[in-house]
Amino acid sequence: MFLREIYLIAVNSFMEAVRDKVPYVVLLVAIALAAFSVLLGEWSVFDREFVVKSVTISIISFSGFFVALFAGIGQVQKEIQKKTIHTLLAKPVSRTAFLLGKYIGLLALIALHVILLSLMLFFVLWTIDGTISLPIVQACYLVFWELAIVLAFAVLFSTYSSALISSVFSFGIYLIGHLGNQILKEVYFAYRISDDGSFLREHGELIYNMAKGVSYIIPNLFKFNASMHAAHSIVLEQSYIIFQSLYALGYSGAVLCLAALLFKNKDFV
Amino acid sequence: MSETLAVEIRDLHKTYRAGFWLSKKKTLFGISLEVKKGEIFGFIGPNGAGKSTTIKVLTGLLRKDSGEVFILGKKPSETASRTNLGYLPEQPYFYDSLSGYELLKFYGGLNGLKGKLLEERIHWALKLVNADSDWIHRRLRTYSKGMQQRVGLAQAILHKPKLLILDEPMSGLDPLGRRDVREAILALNREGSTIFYSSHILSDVEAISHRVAMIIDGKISHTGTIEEITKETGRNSLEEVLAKEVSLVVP
Repeated sequence: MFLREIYLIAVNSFMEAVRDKVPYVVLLVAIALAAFSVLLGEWSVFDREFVVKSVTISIISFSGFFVALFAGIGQVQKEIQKKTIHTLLAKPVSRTAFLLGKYIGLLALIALHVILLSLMLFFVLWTIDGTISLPIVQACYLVFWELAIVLAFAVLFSTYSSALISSVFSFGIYLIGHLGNQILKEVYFAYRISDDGSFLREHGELIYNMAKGVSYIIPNLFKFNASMHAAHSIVLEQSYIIFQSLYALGYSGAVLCLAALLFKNKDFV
Repeated sequence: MSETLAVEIRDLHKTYRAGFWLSKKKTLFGISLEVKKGEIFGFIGPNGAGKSTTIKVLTGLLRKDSGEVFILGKKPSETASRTNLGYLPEQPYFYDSLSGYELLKFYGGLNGLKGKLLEERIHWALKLVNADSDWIHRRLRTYSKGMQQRVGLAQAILHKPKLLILDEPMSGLDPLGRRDVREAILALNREGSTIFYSSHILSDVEAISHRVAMIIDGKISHTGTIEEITKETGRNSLEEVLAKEVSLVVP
């Protein structure tokens, strides 16, 4: 029964999402930008194919982030604000099944978004006589898993805070997840070049260790960014792809467990 | 928990946390009541007395502070407590991008119904609430209050629940709508469902309830048959009893 509940809620959630206008607007903007990348390739000093690949994969990631944000936060918040959740949770449906169903339904939407934009990328490459190679597929595949983590956070935040605060938090996670590694490197670099007796020299190691601790907690989203590999046609090792998939699955699972825990005793007034 | 009881509440307390500072507001002060299987039980009281809060605790939407609550022998925090429960919220809100029919299919599925049985139950429920018309295939966002209420009642009874909890099922309805809901409640009760409902429309409560509980300011003031309550208080009707009780509380 638990699986059937999840399936029914997932289907309903997916159907609700595809009936919304937001994913289409984001998709159209992303397609327009991807088409624009061809022009960008013409103007750029780099190879046109290189620009199309790297820019479009980044567009898939960023537009997918907006879909995850709007759909993830929008749907859970809408259920709570519009009180449709009252009738739903009065059925023999557990709160965990509700959250999982929502998540899976919206993940299907994300998958659809990534697939459509990947096909768009293939089409653009075909029109400019570019090569459609394995690294592009790998990069798009990793974008999907990156968005799976972001969506889990969007669901988590929306169970306990308003849509605005949830959006800000989710954006923060996306940003830190991508820049976390870079920030860590900068902290270490600043510590190494700091003068003797300066604040950074005195406390640099502590600051670096704290930053390192935080980097273990926040998701390593930068590891899902394989746009440069795709642009340079470098095939990622299979073990890396599998590890990243499992990492995303485990991380999303942990975030959803936390969401379920917070949701368990929530009052629906 | 007695086998003969559909609902049992003992010394239930509930406090809300509301506002920016999450300040506490207590709404239920140790209420106790019992609803026997097969009864139509009316739950009455003024606005803000705690009727909807009690109902939401029963359906598991709100978690209690303390006390004991049983729904057909199970705690509301257990998912299984809602297997034989039908619930109509005070203001039913539905997915407005769905049609009434699609909504019933979705909710029926969540109640474990599928295939031909689900189709049969949908038709049965729609007929019972007088909603077996073409508008059931229109989007819910186009529905009037009366149509929404009928669909709301239909979704609550699809699985022929042993216990039906209705929060203000007749509010906002025209006289014909009220009559249809009243008759649906009586028909379901004849088929064996226990009905626990709240209402402001005391004439309807007097017409169909076997027993009644009155809640004032988060406390149960009277429980019993209408005759028992009016006799005990020396009043002629529930309206008079309620008016007197409210006047004692409101400064």
